[in-house]
Amino acid sequence: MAATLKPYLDCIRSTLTASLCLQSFSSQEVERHNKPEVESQKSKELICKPVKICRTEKEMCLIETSINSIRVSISLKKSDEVEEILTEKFMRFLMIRAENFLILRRKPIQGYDISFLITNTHTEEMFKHKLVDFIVHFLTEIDAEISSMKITLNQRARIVAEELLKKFA
Amino acid sequence: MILLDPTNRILFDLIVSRIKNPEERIPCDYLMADFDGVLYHVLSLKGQTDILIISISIKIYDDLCKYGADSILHNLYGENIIETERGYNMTIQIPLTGIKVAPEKYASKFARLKRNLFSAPFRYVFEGIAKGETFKEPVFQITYREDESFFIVPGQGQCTIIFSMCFKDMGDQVLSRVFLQEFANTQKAVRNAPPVTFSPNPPREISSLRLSPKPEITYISLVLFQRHIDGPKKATALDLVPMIRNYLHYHIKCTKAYIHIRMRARAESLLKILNRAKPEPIKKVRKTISGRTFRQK
Repeated sequence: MAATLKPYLDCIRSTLTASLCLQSFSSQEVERHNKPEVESQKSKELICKPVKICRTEKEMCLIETSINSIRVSISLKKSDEVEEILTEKFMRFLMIRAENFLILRRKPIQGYDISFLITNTHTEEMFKHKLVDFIVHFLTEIDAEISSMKITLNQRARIVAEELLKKFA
Repeated sequence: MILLDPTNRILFDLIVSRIKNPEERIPCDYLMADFDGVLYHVLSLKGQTDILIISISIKIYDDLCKYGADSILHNLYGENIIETERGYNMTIQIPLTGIKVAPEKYASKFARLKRNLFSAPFRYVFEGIAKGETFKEPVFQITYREDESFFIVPGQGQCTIIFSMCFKDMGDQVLSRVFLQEFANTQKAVRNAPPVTFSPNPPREISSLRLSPKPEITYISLVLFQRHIDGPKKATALDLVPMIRNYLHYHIKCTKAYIHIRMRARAESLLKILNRAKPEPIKKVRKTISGRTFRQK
């Protein structure tokens, strides 16, 4: 594990643990509605200050908290155009399947690659510490997966090129 | 399968199976496609099922004929050529009985129709170079797809083959750059490999054509020296060169499929971890008032 990864993940973990303190809260604007306040952004007093945790200039995590929901947005490293394209493909793939991933948001918020929206119903149905574990695990997995995909892509390209040109030589 | 076979597999199987099994010789009318917009029409008439008629349509037939495609075909298929079917460029008939060579060898001759046609301009240049001829035209250009062409620039004991390849999708553009970078690097790893370069701008060799660079088009140039196109190497080069575009596209597609498989697997494993967060439903044994267990059906 890279030297900066552990503190980054630790920081995310403790911030998430602290902010995942949700309760059911009916909408103050519309009667008989119960909306995630972090999404509607209607009542200022119900929303906490967002926390942004950065590992590098590009790699960061934004945690926005409100009384009944939190939104976690992740931006991945994307050090070159190949990683960029792989990240984009992968994130799109996951977001298409957002329905299975309960806490995944269908669209990332602007400037980020992927967003999660956790509401009080989720914390009621699932273990809070396991949810935190999932997000931290997600971060490490995605990084590893994208770099390994990039390596295999390069290997494949090399084999393909060599096989063809060997025939000429 | 890393290399693409220049033989058309469907045609090959069709001919071989009809030679080997007389009961498969049923009347048929097939239409099938090959790379680079080539279409085949395979016909076997009622009462004459011992003969297979194959018509081929190639968009650039006239261009290919300029470089001796028709003479090559007449040499190879002379006795098989019949009157051309309307809407096609050439028609040959293949007798399925009385064959003196192995069926596979016989079939592959006809299944390589497209390869023989497409390799005509390359053959023309390679043979010219071997003889030390000088060519009237400094650059041969053949536009074989809507916005893609290949250029052949003959020189002293060598020739440069330039492909303009069009990748419309952003992702494909990035993947193609990775592949082409490896093609360019291969010269270090494989001895005697022909040098490959690529750039978004038209190379110097074809500057006389005044092509303007487009963002989706990449120019790939391959320099073949005498040693790559001499003697036995010539046939290999003729097999490979016209297929380079298809080879690259094929592998880009494979890569994308592979990435997709990996993403699918990873998404599943992530989902498993998320599901761990859900508590197990508590199983309660329900009992009736008299103490018997109650099972809901």
